Amino acid sequence: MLLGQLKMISSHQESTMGTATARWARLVAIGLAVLGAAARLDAQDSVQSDIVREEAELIDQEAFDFIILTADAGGDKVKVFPIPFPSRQLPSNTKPTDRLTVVLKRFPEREYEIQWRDIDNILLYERRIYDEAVERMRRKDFIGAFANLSYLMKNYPKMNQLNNLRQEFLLKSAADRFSKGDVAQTLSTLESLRDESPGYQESAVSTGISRAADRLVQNYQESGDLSSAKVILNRLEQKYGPRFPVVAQWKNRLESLARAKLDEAQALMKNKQYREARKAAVDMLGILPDFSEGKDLIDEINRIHPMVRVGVMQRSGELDPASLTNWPARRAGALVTKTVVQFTETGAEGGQYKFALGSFDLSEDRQQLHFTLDPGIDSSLNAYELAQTLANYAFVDHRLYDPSWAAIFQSVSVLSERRIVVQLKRPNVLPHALMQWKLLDADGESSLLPGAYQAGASSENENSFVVNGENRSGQPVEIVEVFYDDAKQAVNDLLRGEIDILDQLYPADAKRLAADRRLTIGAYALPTTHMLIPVSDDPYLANVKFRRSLLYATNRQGMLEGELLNSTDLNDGSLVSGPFPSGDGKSDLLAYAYDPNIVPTVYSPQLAKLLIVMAEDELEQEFSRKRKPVPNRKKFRIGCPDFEFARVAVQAMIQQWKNVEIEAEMVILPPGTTIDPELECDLVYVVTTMWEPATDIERLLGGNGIAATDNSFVINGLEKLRAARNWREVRNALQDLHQFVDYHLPILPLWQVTDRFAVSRYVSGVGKNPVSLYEDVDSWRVDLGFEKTAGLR
Amino acid sequence: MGIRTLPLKVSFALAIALFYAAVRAKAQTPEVAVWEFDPYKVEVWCTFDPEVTASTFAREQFKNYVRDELDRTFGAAWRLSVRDTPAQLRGTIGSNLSELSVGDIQYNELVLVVSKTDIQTKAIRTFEAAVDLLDRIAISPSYMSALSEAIKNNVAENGVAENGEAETTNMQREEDAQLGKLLSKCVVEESVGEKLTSGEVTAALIPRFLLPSDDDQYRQLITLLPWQTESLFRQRDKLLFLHVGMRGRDFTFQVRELDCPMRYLGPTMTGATDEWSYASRVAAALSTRAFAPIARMEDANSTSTTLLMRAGGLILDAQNPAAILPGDVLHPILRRDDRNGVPQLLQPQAWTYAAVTESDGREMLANVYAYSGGTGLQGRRNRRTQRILLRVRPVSDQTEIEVVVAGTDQPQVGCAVYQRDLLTDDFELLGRTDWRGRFTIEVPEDFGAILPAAKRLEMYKAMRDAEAKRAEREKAEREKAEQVSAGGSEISEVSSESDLVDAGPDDLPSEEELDYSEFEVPLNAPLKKIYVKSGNEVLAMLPLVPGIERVSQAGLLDDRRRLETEAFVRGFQHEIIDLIGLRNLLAAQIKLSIKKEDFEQASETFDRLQGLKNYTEMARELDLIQRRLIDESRGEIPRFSKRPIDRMFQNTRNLLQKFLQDELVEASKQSLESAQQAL
Repeated sequence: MLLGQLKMISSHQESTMGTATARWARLVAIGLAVLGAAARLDAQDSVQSDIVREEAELIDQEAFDFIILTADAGGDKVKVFPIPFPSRQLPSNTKPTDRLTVVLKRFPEREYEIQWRDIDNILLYERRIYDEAVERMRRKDFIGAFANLSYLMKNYPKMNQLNNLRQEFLLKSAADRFSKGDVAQTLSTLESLRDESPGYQESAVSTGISRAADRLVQNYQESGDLSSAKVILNRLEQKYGPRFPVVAQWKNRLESLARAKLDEAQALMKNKQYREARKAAVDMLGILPDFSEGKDLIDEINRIHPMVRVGVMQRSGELDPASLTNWPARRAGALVTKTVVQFTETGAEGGQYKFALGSFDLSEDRQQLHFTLDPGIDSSLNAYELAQTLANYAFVDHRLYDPSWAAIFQSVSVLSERRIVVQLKRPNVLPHALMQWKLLDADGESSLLPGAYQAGASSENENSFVVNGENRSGQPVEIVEVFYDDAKQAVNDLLRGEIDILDQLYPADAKRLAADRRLTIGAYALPTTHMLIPVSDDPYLANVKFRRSLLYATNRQGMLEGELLNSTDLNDGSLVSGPFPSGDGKSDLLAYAYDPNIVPTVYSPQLAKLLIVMAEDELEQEFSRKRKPVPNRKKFRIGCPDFEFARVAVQAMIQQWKNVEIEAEMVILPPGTTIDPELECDLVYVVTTMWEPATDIERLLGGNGIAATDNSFVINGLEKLRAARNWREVRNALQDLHQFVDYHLPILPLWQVTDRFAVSRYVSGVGKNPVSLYEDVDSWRVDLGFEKTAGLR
Repeated sequence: MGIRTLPLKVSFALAIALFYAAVRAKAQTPEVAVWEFDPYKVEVWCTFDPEVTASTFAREQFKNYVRDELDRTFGAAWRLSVRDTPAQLRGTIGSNLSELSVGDIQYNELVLVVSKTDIQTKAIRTFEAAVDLLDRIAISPSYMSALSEAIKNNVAENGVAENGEAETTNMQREEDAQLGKLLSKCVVEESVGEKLTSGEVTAALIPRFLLPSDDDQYRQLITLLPWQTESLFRQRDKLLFLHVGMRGRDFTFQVRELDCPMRYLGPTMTGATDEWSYASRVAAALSTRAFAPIARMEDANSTSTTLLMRAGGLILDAQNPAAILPGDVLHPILRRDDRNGVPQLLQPQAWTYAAVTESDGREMLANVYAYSGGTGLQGRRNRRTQRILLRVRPVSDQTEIEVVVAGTDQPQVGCAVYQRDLLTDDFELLGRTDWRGRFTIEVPEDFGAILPAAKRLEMYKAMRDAEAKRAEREKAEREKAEQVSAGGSEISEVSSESDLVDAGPDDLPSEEELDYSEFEVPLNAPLKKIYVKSGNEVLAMLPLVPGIERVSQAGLLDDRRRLETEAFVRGFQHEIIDLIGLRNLLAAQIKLSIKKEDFEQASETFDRLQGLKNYTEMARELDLIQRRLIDESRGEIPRFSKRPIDRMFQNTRNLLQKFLQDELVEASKQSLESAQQAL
């Protein structure tokens, strides 16, 4: 009826409201028709699932006994409700004429009596489960047998022979697991068997434990995880004594290994390969923490070559301290190069910035930028070169051309060898924010504003940065970034001293580690904003309704609070409805661009389905006009940066989109990149550091941005922002842009996350809330004594 | 008084006078010209930079070679002379030929100005009348000397024929008499410019650069002194400026054409060689490239035009560069003269081109490509208004189009720039204008092709007919199939596939019949149809030949306020769709829960339904948006944007009223209550 009404409205529309309105009405009608169809399909599914039902497992069926009648009585097999024998034991002294009262399964409303002489056998329900378990063990179906056994232990714990069956199960299943290489489970099973039934097949169980422990320790050793091996050995020693064969044997072996590592460390030390020597020494102490001969060596290495090892979840590729969308590039870039102007913190009106070569200020009328070069700062750039560089960024044909800068730059004058003035075309509230450029020499290789460190050696999982010039006392000579793709492994290595700092932590890990006195947990001053950016010209992704359907099909709240953060604390993360961080309330200085009235899209897969159909209809119309067939919807490729948080998020989205019949696959991006054209991605998962929305939004959605939009509305909004002369206009323009992004979705906003990091207490000067990890690297000091390195803090 | 003592500007006038004396005599004779049999009268002015190492003899030889080469190339289509550039223009041409304007050339020439207010002079419209009627014409002492000298030389030259023998025609005699009259009326005055401004002098002969800025007070007369360019422009069709310079060891050449009747300067062609022996060939080749053959428009409608090729009857070989061939693209220039033949309007028609599709060597047919809203080549046509079309000469590999708000320099940022294929009509998004309102259009390697306008219309008609027939046939097939299925198995047995196929009209055109590729004309220049869009609104269609100009500016309507409104309104409409969807979903879920007698779930869902925005809230939101967007304290909304803005809001309001009334919530509430009561 409703649909009928709408159809009537649709035809009426065409005559009265013009084509656009009529088309709109038709789309709504289509959508509602789909809703109806979807509801009917749901109902059909439910009926079908009732019909197609296989016979359940014995333990899942309602309990019943079998009575098998004698041949004289007909030989039938009758299903009856469990017969209430005392302790469920079959009586042994029954007379043939005695009667047994039963209730048939088929006729549960009345009782029947059967003379014992007519009964050939009674198969009790629990016995049949027991027999089935035995049979399953024989067939090595230990999972099935375990289910039966669990059922019996829960429901019939006093059943005869049940304990024997359990012991037999443990031994046999352990043997089976061992043969399949699952040695950890084997060891655990046999140890629990031995603990609970010390006398049961003592010799076989002991041998089994020894063999499983030996194999397990060997596996750990081979995988380089000696700390886990030691944990096993220590436990076995405490439990079974030092003479337990596997313990004695491995103690000797580990000592040899530690000595070999010591020799290796000493040799590397002689070759001045301090990083490698330190690693060998750490490995050595990881094998035998109290290995006395290693202590002096460690102290010596740390005295000569203080080093900080930073565990990172995202490996750096390019190095750009001002990168908006590449966290590792921004992090590591800050080590090797400075930008002309650098963001330091948020302020009352936009961010606070510092000028790499001195100081600067913006004139009252916001049309002039005055730079003063500090003679105390050693730099190869003088005022004239800097002025020329600033002008080059505004020249259309110059390789440095920056359209955003060119749009506001009018001229630059050198007032003296230390002072220059930039004249702007019109007032601008944050012209200096556009100057976050890393200046390179003419070859484009060396930085004209070098950072405190320079790139050093690099290996598969490590990037080294070596201090520029002389290091001050305690300042790390080398910073080594160690890449982890497993957050747990990174935390373990942090705890055992393999790394000194971990640059990103899950909130749950952060909470757990906060109690550890050996570590300081810090939070970055500003959150990261995560989003999906359409990057292909796929016609479906170009359709705004389809993009909306992707958002409706994604349970962002559930994902964020569940698998991603495991936290409902808004300080850890929250949904956003636009490209800007929402801050933590209106008082948050960072939140000036965010319009809190625009609420994040709710999760509604049904509405997503409806929008998909509407989008398909629009595409059909569009392609019909072009006299071309509508392309089939392809499996979308989502480019994902190679770190766990993003991988989990993308995988979860792919799963959820399946529910609305959108197929997608994850493509891991090369380390340190945010997009790779060769991978032909349709969407990319991007983490942005949108800390100065007034200028960063142009870097994101503007012509040179990763999400360079084709949407006229957004482009017009960006132009309005560019023309804004005061903070009121800037805020209005940004909030309009927020609204346009919510309406037209040039990007799909996901959430903002407050990232945390952990620092060993032996590294000082990192700061509790830096903007980025290496912000205060000049102040870092290390006190890497033996205890720390050995993980014995 | 020697030339050295003359002021620089005066000596220029004299030099011009001397220079033209030799070439003018013949041109003074009126000719009855037939357009297609009238050769181009072309003059090449050669300028050598002082650094050019070639000797005087070598330069003379160079000029001769250039003339010979061009004569060979153009044959009867050109009547050519090659000269040195007048001394006073050598510097201007040498310094920056690309920036040269007609004003630069005429900068020092004498102009006769008369007062518009003086009773004796206000009615004077022509030079001849002025010479006849005026009593005195003020002139500064230095220019008086130059004028006397020039007239003397002119009279002397008029008496010498090309063969050197004394000869004077009637026309020359008339000219000499008029010049004598002029000279007799000239009165030397000091500070002529100031006296003219103060009104002390009502008629004066002054150099162009001293012209008073007040156009309302004075009238400039076309001053046809025989040695000045204004006379030259009436006698020549094309003037080619050839500049020879040095860059390192290379001889460099620049050639630029001035179309005299249209006063239109073409692009500069450049080349170089390190061998002087190649110099004349390079220069001739550049001159050939710089030359734009012309055609006169004979007739036009909105899509095509008939053109007449200049000197077409004299061109015997299609390889002749003066020939205009199918595929050539021409650019129109409008000239409107007053009754004295003085051009009042010389206007290159922006964003308008004609592409030749057919030619018989004289008459041509061409497609017209004009900007949206433009008149194309249609419009008033009479003896004094003519449209001449010059063949385009792209010189670079790109052109930036600059979209600005009409009448201002404000850039229109972010406009979508599309290209429409001239054959298939397919659109291709090229990109968007940048912060300067600019977008670069590249010259493609393949210029593409066009269909003659008539064939194109014919093709579309054939396609439409075919489409209609196909639809009719499909309809007939469906009806037949329905009859078959309604008739049951017996009928279906006798029906066959051929019955179905035979249903409906069987005269569908074959693919070959719809194939018009044989009529395609490959283009010889990169003509493109560019569309500029702002949001959903097409701002303009702009035909363009990239590579002619570095920047082509298009002043279009200011669409920013309408676009801003569209951004909000369309977004708001998305929100309405989502809301309708959510409301209906929740209503359906409520029904389902009621059916399952899960009233708790039904109530919970009903709460969610009630929590959604209702009609009143949405209408209020729309009002707020509208109030903000039409607030003219933020700047006036252009008149042409007001209606579309109002229409957008009205349509959205209609949608709200139609689809977002509160009955759905009320119905769900009632269903829930009655179900609970029934329980």
